[in-house]
Amino acid sequence: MKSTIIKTGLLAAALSLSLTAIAQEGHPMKGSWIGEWKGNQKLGDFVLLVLDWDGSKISGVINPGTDNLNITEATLNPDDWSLHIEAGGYEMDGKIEKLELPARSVVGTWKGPEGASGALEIVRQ
Amino acid sequence: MQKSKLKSMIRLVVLATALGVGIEHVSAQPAIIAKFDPASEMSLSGIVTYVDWKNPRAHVFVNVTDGSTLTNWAVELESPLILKGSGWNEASVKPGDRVDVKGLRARNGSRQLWSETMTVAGKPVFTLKDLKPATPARSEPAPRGSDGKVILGSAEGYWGFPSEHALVEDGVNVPMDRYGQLTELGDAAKVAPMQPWALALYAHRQERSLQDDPMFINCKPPGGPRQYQSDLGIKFVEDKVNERIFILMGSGNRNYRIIYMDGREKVGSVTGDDDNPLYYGRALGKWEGDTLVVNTKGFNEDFWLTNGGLPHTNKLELTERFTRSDMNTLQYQVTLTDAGAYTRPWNASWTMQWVAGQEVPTFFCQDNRP
Repeated sequence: MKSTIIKTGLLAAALSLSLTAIAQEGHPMKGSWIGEWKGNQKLGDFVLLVLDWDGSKISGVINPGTDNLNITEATLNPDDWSLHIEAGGYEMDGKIEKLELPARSVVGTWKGPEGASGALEIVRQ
Repeated sequence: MQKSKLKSMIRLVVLATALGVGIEHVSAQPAIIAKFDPASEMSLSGIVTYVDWKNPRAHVFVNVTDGSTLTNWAVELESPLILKGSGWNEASVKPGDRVDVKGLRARNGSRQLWSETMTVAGKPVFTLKDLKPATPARSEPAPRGSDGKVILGSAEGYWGFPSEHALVEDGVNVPMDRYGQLTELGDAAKVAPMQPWALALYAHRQERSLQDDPMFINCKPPGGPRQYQSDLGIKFVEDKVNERIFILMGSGNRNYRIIYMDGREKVGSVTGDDDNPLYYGRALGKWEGDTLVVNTKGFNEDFWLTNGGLPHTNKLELTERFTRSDMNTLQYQVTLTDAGAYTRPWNASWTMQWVAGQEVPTFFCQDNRP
């Protein structure tokens, strides 16, 4: 319950910022991303990713402060802007949409433990 | 490059020539083709209803009658700054004048037209002059102060009209226009040693005709080397008492960059450090003979590194060398190191020309956003 409240609060705060996404003209994945991994009964539908780029790899964490799933693998293919992320038994696959916008998005799917899966949509804040 | 895009480019060159764009005039605005379609040429005639004389570009509104239908068109012209330099003012056409206009229609289908001239009663109005000062037949030596040091700037002029308008690695020759738009998209990889993601992002910006440039859509400053690639130029103000050099921008909303000459450390200033990155970074300078050498780190990632849209990251470090080789010439050489976006350090260089007897122009993007 407490976790849900925190996540809901985080989401509300993030959504209030989403209308004024901070400009990011560097690596397209760097920054914080908020959205949904729909149907995730274990962790809830809402998801927050904080990503960084060190010049050779993408790193970061999913749901910092609550679930703290450290990203162990993250790759971006610039040929089609497809993204693959692995963290804590979860996998995310998607593509960047509206690359030119600060509030660009990634749309795709997620897979989790015990065969869980669903649609993924996150938006850069 | 796609055939259709190449054809569009060729049409733009042909049309630009027809419109008299071929002459060298200053430019500090977004690429024309970012908003207007080179393949959509059109003409109109009508009555002027209003003249909007504001930066970044002036507009003349024209009522056009087609049968029983009356429509209002916005004719977009160059910046008032540039038009004024060419001898025009906001009264050069007046409400009630009948005008004939030829130009390019807006990509979004709205009733907007880009034009560099129009005619009133058969006479051309708003034609552009070449504002670049003539190069003197004999070059005088660079001026020096009482301490023997070369004077980079003075009250009686500024540096403008760069020999290059976009960042390209030294030794590379790729055709592009004055906005940094490549003639051939296939040349993108030659421009600089980009990492794959940076090359793909650069190509994406090019494919979108530079329309996402934050310097124009959000009036962001011309960070990094871009500040030295605007025709509107820069001005050095040397404050020897406080050991710093200010660089005032003719473009980018007249903001400024500070180069600290007092030997301070790279961290710890409220004006920018690793924790507070800036558009112009944190610049520390020193003289090496007649050359000002400036090392800069602490850039944010909120701007395009150059006209044309090269990306960078907050790992960017610049080592710049400014040399006033004679009275009228400023040599600029920069080494870019950015392990976040490029595969190795690389160099670029160009010159700027002294514009004597004039103040650096004032240009405010946000006066009238495009």
